[in-house]
Amino acid sequence: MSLAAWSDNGQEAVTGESRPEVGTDREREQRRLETLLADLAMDAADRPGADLASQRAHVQVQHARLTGDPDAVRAAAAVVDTALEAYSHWPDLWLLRAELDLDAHRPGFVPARLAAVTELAAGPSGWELLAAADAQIGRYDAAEGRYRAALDADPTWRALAGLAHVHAMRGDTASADSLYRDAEEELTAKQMRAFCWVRVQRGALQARAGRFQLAAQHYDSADAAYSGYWVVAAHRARLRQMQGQHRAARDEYERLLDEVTRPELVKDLGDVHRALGDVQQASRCYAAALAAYLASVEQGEALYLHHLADYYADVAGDLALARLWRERDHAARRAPLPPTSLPSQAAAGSPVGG
Amino acid sequence: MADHNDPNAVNSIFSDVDVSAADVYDMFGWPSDDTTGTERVVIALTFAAVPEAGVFDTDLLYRLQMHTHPRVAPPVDEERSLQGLLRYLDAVKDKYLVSLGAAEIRVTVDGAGTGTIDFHGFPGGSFSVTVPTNEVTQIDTPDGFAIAAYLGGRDDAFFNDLPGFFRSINYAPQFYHVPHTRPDLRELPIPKTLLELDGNHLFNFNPAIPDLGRGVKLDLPPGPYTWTGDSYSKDANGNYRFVYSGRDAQAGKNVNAIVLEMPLAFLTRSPDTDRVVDVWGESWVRKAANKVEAIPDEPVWHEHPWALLRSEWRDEQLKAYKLVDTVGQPFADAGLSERENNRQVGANNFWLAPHFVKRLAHLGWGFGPSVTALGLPCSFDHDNAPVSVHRTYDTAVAAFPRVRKLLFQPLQMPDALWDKHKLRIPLRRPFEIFVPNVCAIDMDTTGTWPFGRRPEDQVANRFLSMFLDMEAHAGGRQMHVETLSDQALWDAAPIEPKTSPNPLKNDKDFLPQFPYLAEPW
Repeated sequence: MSLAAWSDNGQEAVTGESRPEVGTDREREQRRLETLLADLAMDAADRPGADLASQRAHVQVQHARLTGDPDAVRAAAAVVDTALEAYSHWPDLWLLRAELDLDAHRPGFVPARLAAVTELAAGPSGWELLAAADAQIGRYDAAEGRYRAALDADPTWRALAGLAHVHAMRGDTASADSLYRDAEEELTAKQMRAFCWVRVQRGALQARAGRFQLAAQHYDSADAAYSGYWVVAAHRARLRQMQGQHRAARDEYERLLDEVTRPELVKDLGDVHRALGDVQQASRCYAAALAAYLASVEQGEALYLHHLADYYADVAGDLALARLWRERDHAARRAPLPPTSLPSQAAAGSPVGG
Repeated sequence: MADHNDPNAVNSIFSDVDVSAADVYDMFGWPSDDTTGTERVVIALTFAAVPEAGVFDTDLLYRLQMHTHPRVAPPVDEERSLQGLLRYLDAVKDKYLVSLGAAEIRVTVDGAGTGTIDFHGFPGGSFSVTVPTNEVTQIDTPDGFAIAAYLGGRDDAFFNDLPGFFRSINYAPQFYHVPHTRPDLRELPIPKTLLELDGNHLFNFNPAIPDLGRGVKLDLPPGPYTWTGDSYSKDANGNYRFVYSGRDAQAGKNVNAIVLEMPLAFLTRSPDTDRVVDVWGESWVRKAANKVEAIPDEPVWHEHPWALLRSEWRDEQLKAYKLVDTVGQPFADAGLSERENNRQVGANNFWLAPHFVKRLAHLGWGFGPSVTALGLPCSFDHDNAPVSVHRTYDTAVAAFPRVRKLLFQPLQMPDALWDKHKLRIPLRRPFEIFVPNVCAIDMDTTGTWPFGRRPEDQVANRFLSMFLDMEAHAGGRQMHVETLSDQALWDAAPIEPKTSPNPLKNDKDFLPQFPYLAEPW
């Protein structure tokens, strides 16, 4: 008998597939998370506490990522920060915060987040995040070492996919694909969104290698695994673009942007319009993307710094400015978390128990 | 886009899904009491009722492996050494490395509620049938036998004070929200015990929060998580407080179950000599890739009443699934393997034997002094420790002297009824029971634990009884596997509440006929 069955350990219950619901997989999951958030909000009134705050923050982040909306991710990050103010001793919240740092291209913040609570950086979950941080800064050897240590301790699909990404960044497509396949082998029918994401990475890998048909097959199977995910649609649109199918790409981007507001996709649509000779539409897209990038920078974010560098290099043709933004991006990624950003209790090193 | 490709963006720490339908609970097995006609064995695998009782998760495959053999001659009694134990385990492994040559049954259920049962490696061949769920069905085998089958929801046949057990081992997640990132804070380093420890504020019964651990959980408070006391807690009357309540934590709960009643002659061509049936269960969950890249349709899924199976197809089928959980002996997993994923090795747990020795010694330092404090003879050598001790071992060599008697003592039965054919079958000993991790059904017994496992067996009390010295007497009575279920013992003991550790019967009466487990709630 497994203990998980004996003890309510707070993990989400999973249903079988006997009751099909309408909509795409992404829509169904989004509705489920919204229901869960509402339930957790009601629970919070009855039993406030670190665990519940952690659950709410986690679900909020999941929901935001599903929508693909940067504003939703910002709001979720604020929820996590608020929870940390109240429960700075709770390690799960710090791990979640470190993940959001990675999402926001602030890998330099990760070590401090993990150091906030005893033991957090000393286990495979922490090693995976530190490895991802290394990879974002381009320290691929360090990233590989940490991923391999994590895999030795606990061979998760995440660590395998992370290591695959390292190989991909080094240009070793074959090894990367092999590791992504290993990651897929670790995933079960209860983790179809994760499988979809890994399959998309395999598609992107093939697309970069010029194997467009194989890439398309991977994207098709990703969509079959988990339908309605904007990540798949974005990659498909990009593939059309790479194949020179600009009209199809334009249609894909326009459909996608009806659902997801992400400035980098608007910029990509501008590229397609430019390729189609529609300078006016292209300019409109570029202006909108640029405005969103700069607004993000105004808020002190690092997320779009590298997009700005690309913009000035590829669209504006201003290589000096491109270099400037590139340097800012590099600096932002390496910048450590300011000590004032840590809640005081955690800064004092108060673990759960210790 | 490539810069957004870190995998953490898709799945954060808590979104690993708990595949709860894969949690196999209990493996029952006993010779059928109905002696009319051919001799039959009953096996029942229970697991979480997910999505709900009577509805199976279509991504799951349940596997029952079976192996028949003559009763193994007991190892020499006089050599109670670690080397002797390891030699015995080697011999057992070599003699019948389970799963090699084992016959097996696989069960899947589709979205329409139709079950497919694959039989493979039985003397009459391999075949597949489809059956409805939640109905008793007769399966006619190619070699002319009749098998009774039931796939569906039932009342949970396990009756146990689980919160009491978790209190005894200071298992925090039953009582507290433990951070997912701190697995080291689950079983806390406080002495395991049957009697509450004076000052063990984390786990002692708290009248202000009476339901703590019984549905109510608090956030895990700051540590330290150790215990520095030196005595058991006593009330004003000098009574110890039991960690157990005797309440059935599974009352009113359902499971899904696979129940089969099969002729022994279907399992072996030598039913007169192959008197022991080993059975163990596994859950497998479909891999994500398989869900997308479906294997081509196979005619066996659609043929009825049965279709022959090809072995190569079967292997391909299993490649599409991932092993999640295993069950053979009660408490082999929860009590002795510490529930670690990498110890879900099923029947072939021979390599875990040294770990079992260390874990038993660790448990012994906790439970042993409690047993002695109650005035009961103890099989664990705890140097007359007056109170439970938290001690762990790095090596089996160091731990073994402590558990020597516990491991080797024959587990006495309360009467002779279990030996139904009066064959003077040797009593079983703990080291024979847990390695290999199978439910070993002796067809010449009633199948009561440890000669199988009947639904009505109070296996939790029997597991604890291993810590009693069964070569000794107390109150004029020899200790046996049912001693802790004797209410008179508790009435006379200086303890509150005066109850058997665990409930003595199930919340619903078992059925006298197939499928034996009670109707679901």
